[in-house]
This record gives sequence, C-alpha cells and structure tokens, in this order.
Amino acid sequence: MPTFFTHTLAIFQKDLKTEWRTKERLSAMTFFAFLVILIFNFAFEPGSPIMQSAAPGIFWIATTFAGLMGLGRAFAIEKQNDCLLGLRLTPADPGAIFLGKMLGNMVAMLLLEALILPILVIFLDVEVFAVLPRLCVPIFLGTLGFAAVGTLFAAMSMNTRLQEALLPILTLPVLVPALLAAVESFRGILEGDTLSDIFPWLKLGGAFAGLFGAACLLLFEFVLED
Amino acid sequence: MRRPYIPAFVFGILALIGLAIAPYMALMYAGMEKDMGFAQKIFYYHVPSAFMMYIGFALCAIFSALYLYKKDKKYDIWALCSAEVGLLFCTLVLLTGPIWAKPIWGTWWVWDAQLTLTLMLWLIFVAYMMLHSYSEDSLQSAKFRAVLGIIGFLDMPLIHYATKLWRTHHPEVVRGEEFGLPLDMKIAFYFCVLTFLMLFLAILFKRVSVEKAHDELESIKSEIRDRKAILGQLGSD
Amino acid sequence: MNAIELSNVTRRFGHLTALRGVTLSIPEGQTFTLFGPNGAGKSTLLRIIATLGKPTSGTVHIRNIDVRESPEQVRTHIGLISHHTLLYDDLTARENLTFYAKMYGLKNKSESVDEALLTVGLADRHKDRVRGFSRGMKQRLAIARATLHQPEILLLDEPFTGLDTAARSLLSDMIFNLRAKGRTILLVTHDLAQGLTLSNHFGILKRGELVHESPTENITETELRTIYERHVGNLTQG
Repeated sequence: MPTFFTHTLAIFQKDLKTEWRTKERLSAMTFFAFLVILIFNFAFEPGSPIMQSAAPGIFWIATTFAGLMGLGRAFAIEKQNDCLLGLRLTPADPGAIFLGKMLGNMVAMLLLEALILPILVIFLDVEVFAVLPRLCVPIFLGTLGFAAVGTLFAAMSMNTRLQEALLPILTLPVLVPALLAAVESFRGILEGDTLSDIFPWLKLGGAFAGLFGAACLLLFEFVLED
Repeated sequence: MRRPYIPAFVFGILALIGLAIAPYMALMYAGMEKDMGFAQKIFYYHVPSAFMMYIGFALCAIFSALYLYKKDKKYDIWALCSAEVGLLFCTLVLLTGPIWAKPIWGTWWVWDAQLTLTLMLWLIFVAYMMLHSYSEDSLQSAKFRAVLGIIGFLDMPLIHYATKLWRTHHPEVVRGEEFGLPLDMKIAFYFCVLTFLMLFLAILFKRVSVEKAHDELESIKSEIRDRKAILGQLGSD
Repeated sequence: MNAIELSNVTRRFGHLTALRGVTLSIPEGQTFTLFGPNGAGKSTLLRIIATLGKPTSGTVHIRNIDVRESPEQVRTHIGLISHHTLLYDDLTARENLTFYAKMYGLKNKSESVDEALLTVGLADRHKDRVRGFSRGMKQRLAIARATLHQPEILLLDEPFTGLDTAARSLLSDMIFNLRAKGRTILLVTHDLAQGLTLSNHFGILKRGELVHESPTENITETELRTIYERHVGNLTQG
C-alpha cells in the first residue's frame, strides 16, 4: 500500500510542477472565472441587492465552469505524446493514477477559489472575510466532490469524438447535489448561520464527496483499460 | 424463435389488453377525487410511468456492473436497452407531470423535489445516450456507458435528498393516497401499474431482441469480410 | 527460460478479431522482429505483452509470470518505446526521468537518472525542458525513459516512424547496444530492411495469425521480401 501513495504523490507533484512552470491552466481558469462574474454584473444591476443574494450562486457557477475547463486541460497534458500510456506502463495502480490526477485538479480549483473570493468581495460587495473559516468547510467538500466526478469524466470524454465538449454534459447533471449543497451552505453562512445550522447541507456535501470519491476511484480502472 | 421474441410477444399482448382496459379503470371505475377532481386522473398514468422509469434505470445500473465485471456483450445490450426504455418512461413522467400540475398548482412547472429529480435523471440518461452516439469505438463506449449508468444510479438518492432539502411542493397526498385511497381508486391504480409493467417488459424484450439481431448482423458482416479477404488472397496466388 | 511466451492468444474487440490463436516463444536475449501490414494485429500483440490489454483467450507469460495474474510485476520487466515519446514537454529531461524513476520505485533514483542521461548523451542538457529538444534528442530521452528501470525485455512499436536519418541510425545503434547487453527485444515494424539488420529472428503476422517464423540468419533482404510477399501479398499494394 505505501507504493500506492508514492505513485499518487509522484503524479500529484509532477502536475504541480508542470503547472507551476507554465501557469497556463490556473491563469486561464482564473481569467475565465473573472469574466463569468463580470458578465453576471452586466446581466443584472451592478451592486444591487439581487447581486448580493446571488453571490453564492455566481461563485459556484464561475468555479464550476472554470473547473471544467481546467479538467479538460489536465488530461490534454496526458494525451500529448501519449503520456497516459507511459503511466499505464508503470506498476502504478489505476487508483493511484486517479488519485494523483484528482488531487492535482483539486489543488488547482482551491487556488482558483482563493483567487476569486476577493473578486466577489470587490465587485459584489459581499462580506466574505468575516465568515471565511466557516466558509472553507462547504467549499472544500464541494471541490472534493467536483474533482472526483470531474476527473473520472474528463478521462472518459477525452476518448470520445466530442472530446472536452462532452465533459459538461456528463458532469453537470451528476454534480447537482454537490452544487446545491455548496451553494446553500454558502448562502446560509453569509446570512449568519453556524456550521450546525447548515449541517444537513454539509452532510450532503460530505456524502457526495465520500460516495463518489470511492466510486470513481474504483471505476477509473475500467476507463483506462484497453 | 431463438431470440426473446416470445416474452416480447406475450408481454405485448398483455400490455395491449391492459391498455385497452386502463382508460376505463382510470376514468369510469375509479371514483372522482374530491379536491383535485378530474385532473387527478392523470395520476393513474403518471405514477406507474415513474415506477417503470426507476425500474429501467436500476436495471441499467445492475447490468452495467455485470458488464464491467464479466465483459460479456449481452450485459451491455441489456444495460443499453434498460436505459433507453427507462428514458422513455422518464420522458412520459415529465410530460404527464405538467398536465396535472397546471390545474392543481396553477403552473406547468414547479421546482419541486420529485420533479427536479426526474429532470436530473432525464439529463443524466440523455448524456448516457450521447456517450453511446459519440464514442470512437463500441467497446470503449460500452465501458464508459456502464460507468455512467452506475454513477447515475448512485446519484439518485443524493439528488433526491438534495432537492427535498432544497424545496418540496409535491403533496404528500400523492404518495400517501396509496394508503388512504378508497378501494376503487386503489384497484384502478394497481391495475395501471401492472399494465405499465407489461408494457415496460414488452418494449424492453423487443428492444433487446432487435439489438441482439443487430449485433448478430454485425458479426455476420465481419465474418463475410474475413472470408472475402481469404478468398481474395487465394485468387491472387 | 523464455522471456516472452504466448500460447494460443486470441483477442477480440467486439466483432473484430485482432489476434487468432497466436503461439510464440521468444527466448532471453533474442531480438525478434514482427512484420506485417497495417491492421495485422501487431500493436494489439505488443499491448497484450505490455499488460495494457488482456487476451480474450490463451495465456501470456513474461519471464514465467502470468500476465493475467500479476500485471504489476510484469510491468517492471518491460520497457516500451513507441513513436510517441511518452514524455512531458513542460518538464526538464531530468524531471521526466526522475518522475518515472519514482513510478517504477527505483532505489537510487538520482544515480539511475544520471546514468541514463549519460548513456543517451543528454547529460549536459538535463536542465532543459523537453519542449525545446529536437526530434532526435526527444527520441534519445524516450529510450532513456524506457530503459531507466533496466527492463530485461524491450518492446519497440514502430520506433522509426517520423525520425530523420541521423535519429534513425542513432536509434539502431542503441538497439544494437541493448542487444549486446543481452536484452530481449521485440520490434514491430513494416520496414523490412531495418528489421532484418537489427534482429536475429523474425515473424510475419497477417490478419491476426502468425503465418511465418524463422531465424534471420542467411536471409537476404530480397529473400525476406519474397517470403513476405508470398504471405501478405504485393508490397506495393499494401
């Protein structure tokens, strides 16, 4: 089992190093998320109370779409020069490959979220920083669930004719419970709820992350094999 | 009759008989519901459709898991056909729902838990069909679909819980009714469930036999290609 | 002990039968070339040996290990070189090799990586990103990657595709080198001349069947061409 985590860690570190060097994935994701928030501002009255109450939703819409874009990239790297074949030739367990890629995606998304929260504060004038520690819990759970399902589906959609275009179609309907939990928790916390007030939502977010984390880990093998 | 023609035929006849009697059972035999009136009648078609949708998607998940485990093509055929028939009944639920909702709730669509769940399932299984159409090779498509079929099924309770927590309008009456229902309504309801089950099985078996015939045709075609190639080889020698 | 042992291997993809009852033994230290037209099942055979796909029926043993039972163990004995480099363009030469050293669980990573870089003559470029490398340099690094874990068996899947003359001769030198070290090599190519000079045994795969197998000793290129055409048909047509 220790080799399992060595492999996971090696893949994770490799992805981080690649990202650190090029910064292309995170910068594209952040810029895209920024644009989404901006467009919401144009679509509704800027600074109006509607925008403030819609802030949790806008945050997660921006994160989800930018995240989907990042997921596509994560497997494009492996497809270039047939690197995924190289990974499969090593003694690594498919689960370790999945976990390594998933962690990389998760870190990219957490960084993205850290970058767009201030944008939310500036543009939408929502008081986020006072409740930040509480807010981290549902964001983390939502991101975990997203990364699990997204990594599995990204590997699948890469091998279809539609490539990345199929990724949102596969991912979004499945992701609905996780997104609902994340948005509702966010909204509750902004309205002054404590973690125990929003516990049903946290439970749902946790159940989603746990269930699909395990299921995707096990199913990834079938996506990889010939 | 080597292929499952017989079950499709038998269930088909039973479904036909049932469907001929069902309108009578729903409209004439069952009494008028006091509060909802005539609109409640759609319930005899709407709820059985929902049951069949769940059966279809559950069968799809079971056959998907079997396929991944055994890699036997026949499980893939069953999974695909169950999903298709499940999707058909899911569409029926989504069509009959608003007919009932408009007079009762005063609006075609309400973001209610039950409705949202059905819509989400519909979307997941439309994605399933897209995966079937847009895959590069059939073997990979079968595996990917199996993965999505299982994921979609696992997602069902979570979506249900989520949407229920989110908002619910669906009158508990609809499901509570089954128990507090007068006997005539109960009989009509169970008659319709049985009829829909026959219809479901008839379509499923028919669909599977068509898919199996298609599969057999493909294998004959590839055999012909092989033999032609060998003959061509001999001719050139 | 045979390095590679296939017994009655069949592989079907849906209705397509890619391999039909292939039986083949390659003893240790042999360099075996597999010829065959496109779609003959050469790549499928290589992928099965590399544990990437399981045979529909039949058994495959690599150094007496059953591929079906312990694929992870088999993978440590196998290196694969294809016309793709399997390298990450945005990592440096050293980082690429270090990553694979970790994945193969090598004991002394930096020594192995240093040695591998030295062998392929890229020691002075180890800090450069692969993206800037020439095709030949990339191929050299790909060889270093494939041989990093000192595999006893090397699988070469059309490795000459897309290489210029210099890179080709470099690659064949390296294959001779590995051969001299006593490695077992299975080369798949449709280039008859190249395959003939590199190997001491060859086979012809046609429509999933192994139709010919013999040593390359005393066989000239013209003779090989005649044998090939007898089995497969006119070369110019296919």
